[in-house]
Amino acid sequence: MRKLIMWNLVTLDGYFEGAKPWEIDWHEYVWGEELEQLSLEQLKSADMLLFGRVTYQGMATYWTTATGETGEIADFMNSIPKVVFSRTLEKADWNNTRLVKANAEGEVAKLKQQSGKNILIFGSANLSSTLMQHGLIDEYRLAVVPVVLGAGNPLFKPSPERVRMKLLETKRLKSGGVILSYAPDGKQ
Amino acid sequence: MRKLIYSLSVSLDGFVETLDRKIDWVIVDEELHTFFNDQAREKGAFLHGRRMYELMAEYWPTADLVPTNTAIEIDFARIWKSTPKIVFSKTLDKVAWNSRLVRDNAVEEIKKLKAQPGKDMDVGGATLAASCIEHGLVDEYQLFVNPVVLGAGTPFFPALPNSINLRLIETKKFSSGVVYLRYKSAEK
Repeated sequence: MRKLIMWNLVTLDGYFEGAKPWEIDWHEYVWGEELEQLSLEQLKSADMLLFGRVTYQGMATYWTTATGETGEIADFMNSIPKVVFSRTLEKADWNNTRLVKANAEGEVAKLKQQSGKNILIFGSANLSSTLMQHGLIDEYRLAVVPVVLGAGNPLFKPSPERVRMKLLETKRLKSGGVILSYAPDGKQ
Repeated sequence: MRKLIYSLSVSLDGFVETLDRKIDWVIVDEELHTFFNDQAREKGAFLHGRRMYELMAEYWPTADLVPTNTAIEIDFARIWKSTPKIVFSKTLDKVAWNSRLVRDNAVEEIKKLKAQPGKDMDVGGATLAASCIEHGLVDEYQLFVNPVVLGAGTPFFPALPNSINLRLIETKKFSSGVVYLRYKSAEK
């Protein structure tokens, strides 16, 4: 059974992006060698990335344009198998992507049954919310950034049910970020 | 200049209470309660909004008289009663237990209090703290992150027109899975 891990940088007031889409300049406060190293290790532990449409499109543009990143992380991002869940996307051109138009929960449950390495999900807050409500996310890794944005797009969407968690690990970064890792209670 | 500290238990999605004002999910075991007591002991004053005052005044004034209460609870009851409290409310008629009622100009009053010599002050709950944050009066933010996603509730941070940069000054992991994150305002 593969593990599905959600990874996000989040502000202290719970936003994963600012009021405008892709407003993530505040990532700079914690980004650096230490976090880059952790990101790379995390990517190497995985063999699949899941996306909702918006995050997919933004990341595809970022990682494939000539002025984007080069190096190990870029190579990973561009080559790793990806699945994008969207009813409206016509085509998914970023290298090694499969487009799934319906029943994300069913598809993700199937993917988890396969043997393989970890599956990661970044951004994709609406998709994550659906997967969370279906109990499909095995680990939540949040890098808490020392900033209160004041407005933005919340990582955790409104939901009628509480979800109890179990703290797995905390890690304080030299930059002032804190990585908190949780598993839904009863799943560890 | 005395420091104003805003310190509360929060859910992982950043709420201090549910929509119907429940705090049944807040972990307060012996370890945490001892920590809370030690912090409270160091304060020169507690600033309360009406709801927080009413919540505290409902239980603590007689908690030290109940022999079956733990030593830690009895200790806190004495700390709460003996520490000067300033209650900000337009609607309360009177307050008791070493409290002073302030009906108007909360912000001006708090600025005056900060200018006075003395030990640091604690502000709670979220409504009063929101005014303080909006006027740049909070010097330190202390979040006791509980391992639960509530899905909705009263947020720890209000909406703000500008972001606030913070500096992480302390973290602590409790055996219950609660994580203490302590920040000071970076501009100060």
